[in-house]
Amino acid sequence: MALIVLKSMTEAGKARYHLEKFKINAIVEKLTLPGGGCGYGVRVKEDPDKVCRQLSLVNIECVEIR
Amino acid sequence: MVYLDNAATTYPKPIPVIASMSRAMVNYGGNPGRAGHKLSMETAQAVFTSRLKCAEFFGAEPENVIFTLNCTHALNLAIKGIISPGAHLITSDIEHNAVIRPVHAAAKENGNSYSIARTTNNEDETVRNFEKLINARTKAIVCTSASNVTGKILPLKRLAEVCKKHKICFIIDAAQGAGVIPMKLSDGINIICTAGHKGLYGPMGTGLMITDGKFRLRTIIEGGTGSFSKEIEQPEVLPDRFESGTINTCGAIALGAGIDFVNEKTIDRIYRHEHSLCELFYNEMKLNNKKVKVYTDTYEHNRVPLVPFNIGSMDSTEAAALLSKQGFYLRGGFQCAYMAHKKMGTQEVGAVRFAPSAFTNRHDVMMFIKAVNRISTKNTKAL
Repeated sequence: MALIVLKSMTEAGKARYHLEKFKINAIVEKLTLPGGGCGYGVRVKEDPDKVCRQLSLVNIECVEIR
Repeated sequence: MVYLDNAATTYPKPIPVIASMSRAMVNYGGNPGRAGHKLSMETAQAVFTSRLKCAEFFGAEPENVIFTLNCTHALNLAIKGIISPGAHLITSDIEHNAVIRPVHAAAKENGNSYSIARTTNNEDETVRNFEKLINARTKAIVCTSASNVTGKILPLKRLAEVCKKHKICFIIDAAQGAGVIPMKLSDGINIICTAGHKGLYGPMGTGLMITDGKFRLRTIIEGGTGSFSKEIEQPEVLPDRFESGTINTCGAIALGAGIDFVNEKTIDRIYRHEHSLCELFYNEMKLNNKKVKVYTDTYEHNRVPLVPFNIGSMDSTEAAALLSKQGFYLRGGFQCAYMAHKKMGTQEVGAVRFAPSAFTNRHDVMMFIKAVNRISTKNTKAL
């Protein structure tokens, strides 16, 4: 499962909300940001690049894919 | 008891709001956006759900919904956030202290200044009065959506057009308007500041600052956000930038239930219901009680549902106290909006404010009318 790093807790919640509409199951997780510090992201089973493309349609930027 | 002080805060709250608050206290005890454990994550999800409801209600993106303690808090974030040294702000002559005090305070520093636009019953004239005060240093128009004293609604869409034309920010105090008159960011408003506990039927201790993100605001409160913790600079990302410290989680969650209530009732039905009650009270007083002064010539539709009045020459606080003894709870005095009272001519005695809610019914108002008639007969001379 891939972990997609997002900019904030709220953005992770927003990502999950929109991914549900695309029938993509996502779990919000707390993680460490690139360079350190607390951050949030969503864990997905699907191809993360495809998920990020879907998220870009709703103006959500993927910070990193792990 | 008949509660008619709903312009201060609505009471009672809808049962789902009470249930939501209670559920949040029991089930959502983790600190949202801080830890990664189940309780924290579930609380964060509940807060997000509420944030999304607020966003949809005002036509915003969820990240641009900032939970605040109240409308005053939201207005301070917006007003003090938009200014830079030498800034000029424009406000109106019917503002609540939640607007005029932070504007006045901001103007004491860094060469800032402000102007007050005269509002009139003529929309064209009101809009012109605002526009002619704009200068090269003007950063924003900050004004109420509707007066908490007279109920007068300002021409928001037209003022938004003026702001857009001059590339300045349009900030509104929606404490009295939200939930009663429709308003969206798509009306051209850049920042909506509102209370959560009035027309949105949420708990006290809740408010919102909703932005379209077009104007960067500096922060007036910095601190822990649960994000970017290694950085000493306050994060740029919203809502974190303006939500330092733990938010009123239970209140924010219950506010979502309040918004559900308004959506279910619909703004239009709530407005028409409350307006009809104001009209009932207004007409009874205007036609049948010459000892009561109501402060509008006619009860028009361009105002939010509230009626300021006085009983004879009695001080408004005294009148409110007499009504309270008979079980009718209203607010006298100046309602924290002395400017509006000066404009209305009640700068000496203030006024009693009749403010119904979605829960007030005609029977309540008829009982209230009888109580006002009793007090005015016993205690006053005709005006």
